[in-house]
Formats: sequence, C-alpha cells, structure tokens
Amino acid sequence: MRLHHFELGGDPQKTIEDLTLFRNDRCLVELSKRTLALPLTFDEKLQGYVFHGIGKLVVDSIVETTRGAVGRPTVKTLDRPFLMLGRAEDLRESLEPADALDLREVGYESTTEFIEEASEFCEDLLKERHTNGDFDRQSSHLFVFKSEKGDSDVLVAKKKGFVFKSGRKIYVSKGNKSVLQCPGEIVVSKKGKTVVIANNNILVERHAPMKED
Amino acid sequence: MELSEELEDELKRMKEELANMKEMLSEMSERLRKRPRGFHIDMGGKIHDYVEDVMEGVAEGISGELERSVFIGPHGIKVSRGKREEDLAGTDPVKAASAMSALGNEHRLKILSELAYGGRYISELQEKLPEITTSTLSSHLDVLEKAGLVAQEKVRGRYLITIPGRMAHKMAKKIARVIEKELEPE
Repeated sequence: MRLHHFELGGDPQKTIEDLTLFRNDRCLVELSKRTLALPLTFDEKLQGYVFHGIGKLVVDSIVETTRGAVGRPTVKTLDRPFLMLGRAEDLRESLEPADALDLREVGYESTTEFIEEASEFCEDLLKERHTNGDFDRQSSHLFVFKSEKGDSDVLVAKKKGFVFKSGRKIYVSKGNKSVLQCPGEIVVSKKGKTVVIANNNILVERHAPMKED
Repeated sequence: MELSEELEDELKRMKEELANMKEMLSEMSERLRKRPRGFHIDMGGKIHDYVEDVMEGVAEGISGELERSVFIGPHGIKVSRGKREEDLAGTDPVKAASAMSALGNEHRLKILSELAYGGRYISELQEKLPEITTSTLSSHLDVLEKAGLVAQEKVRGRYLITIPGRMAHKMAKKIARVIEKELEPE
C-alpha cells in the first residue's frame, strides 16, 4: 500500500499526561505531558499521529554473547516531529484539544504553522517510501524519527518483538532471539546460541554466557 | 515399405533416447532437490516471518555447516580467514589510560568478575558484593560504562560485560598472575 494518500489535519491535540506509546522489555517510546499531536488518516480512518514536543526513545540494541555484550543501547530525546502509525485509536482518551499556549510552548505561532511543519515532515518522509501491505495496524506500531542530519530512524514494534533501524545499524528482537547488524559485524543470537560474523571471522557459540577461567 | 520400416525404427530409437534423457533429467532434479541448502528468505511474508527466516536461516545455515564438519566446544570455535596486524603504535594513550584506570580498582575488578557470569541487575550485584555500598557500586558501574567495559540495558536496567570488558578483565588477571609469580620468593 502506498502511503501518499494520507491526510493530515483536524484540530491539533495534546497529551493530557505523560504517555507511554510503546513498551516491551527492550524498547520504550514515551511522550511527556502537553506534547502536540496531529491526527493522520488514510481512507478516512484514523491511522496515526504526528507528534511534536518532548519524548524519549530507548532501545536496548545489545546482544549478549559469551565473548561479551555487542552493541550499545540507543537513548534519544524526541524533540523533533515524529510519526506513529498503528493503534492510534488507543490514544483518544489520552488526548485533548491543544490551545495557542500549547502550540507556542513547542514553538508554533499558529495551528497552520504546526500543520505545515507536520505536512512537510510527512511529505518528505513518505514521498519515496512504501509500506508493506501486511503491516498490521491493529497490533503493530510503526515509528519514524528524523534526526537533525535528516536521517530517519525507523522502529516497527509489536508486543513481543521489534525491528529498529538507525543509520547503518539494524537490530531485530523477538523473544529470546535477536539479530544485530552494524558496519562490519553481524551478530545472531537464539536461545543462548550466537553466531558472530566480524572482521573476516566467524564465531559460533553454543552456550549461554559463563564464567571464564 | 522398407523406408517406412526404417523410419519406424528410427522413431522408436529416438523415443527410447528421449525416455532415457527424461529419466536422467528426473534423477538430476531429484539430486538437486535433496542437496542441503543454506537458507531461504521469503520477502513476501509479514515482517515477523521475515525476521524468523533471517534468524532460522542465518543461524542454521552457518552453524549447521560448521557443525557438520567440526566439533564445537563449550566456548565455540573460531574460524579466521587471515591474520591482521595489530598496530599498537597507533593506540590512543588517552583511551588506553582510561581503560587501565577503570581497571585499577579492586571493586571494579570484582564487579567485572561478577558480570562475567552474565547480565546482572544492580540489586543482584549488591547481593553478590555486599562489601560495596550502593552509591559506590553505582559510581563504579558508571566508570566502567564510560570506559566501554560494561553496557547497561536502559529498559530492563541489567548491566552486561562488553567484549572489551571481558578482554580487559582477562588481561588484568593475567598480569596479576605474572607479577605474583615474579614476586614469589625462590
């Protein structure tokens, strides 16, 4: 399904309390109170929001191997507009109309200015992109965060697993399985068994971490 | 009449040849079908199917091949395709000093020893190392994390020893053993 038929608009809203958009044991997306939210619809149905305010993204993109942990956690402050698709209906109770003061707090002089900024963000983001038709909006979240440099971080999350792409790093986690791909290195871990491919070496490990001599 | 018989014979021979070729082709395709393969990724499925395929395929494809040919011990096996020369001359002394300084504390070495067993929550570390107070423990973990010897899962909060952390810990123990031996009275 191509995402160029989206519609942004309606009255800007704001979060009435600190809000957790998604959380599992390795990944967290949070919003603070009074973050602006602009509804995004496809086929006249609410499908997501563009948020702008203060939030936090945390992804434990680390894989544990017997040689030691590989990768680093990602912790980012979300102070730029970002997109969320999926499970948008769940948020209705946590939002209320935003007023001029709320808009000014984030740096907008008017509603139009916020809508223009959000539209620009979405158009820039979606003009060349496709989303898989299988993307399940009932149980999955898709987040797209843009950095100052213009790069996009993408997080596709479900309760038991997620895929996170940031720059040249890709991290996939589902239950006790995870895959981390970063420049020059791929680590695959499944039930305590890991395969590490790095610097022309392949390392296969069969057991969970254990104490060295 | 003779010509017709000849043609019929020729046709019969060609049919037999064709049947043989078909049989050979069928055998070849059967052999190809039975051949062990690496992994297959079906991009047409949902994203979790794709992830599942990557996990199953890469793990089984790579480790499966190796397991068939060699025994893998409890610590795994290492396959090297070439030696790389370590350029220690180019090592940043500031970074080296930072790593060594992080190691230069008895409590921090104990923390690394404990983490070598696997990831630990701070409460578990406190339980295992009662001689270190909570605030000191946090500050030591902070030093180890800044030096890149330990990584913390920010959602669950567990602390994990990193690859450099494990190497540094091993190295510190080796140095201690060598010095101990040197200082032993003869």
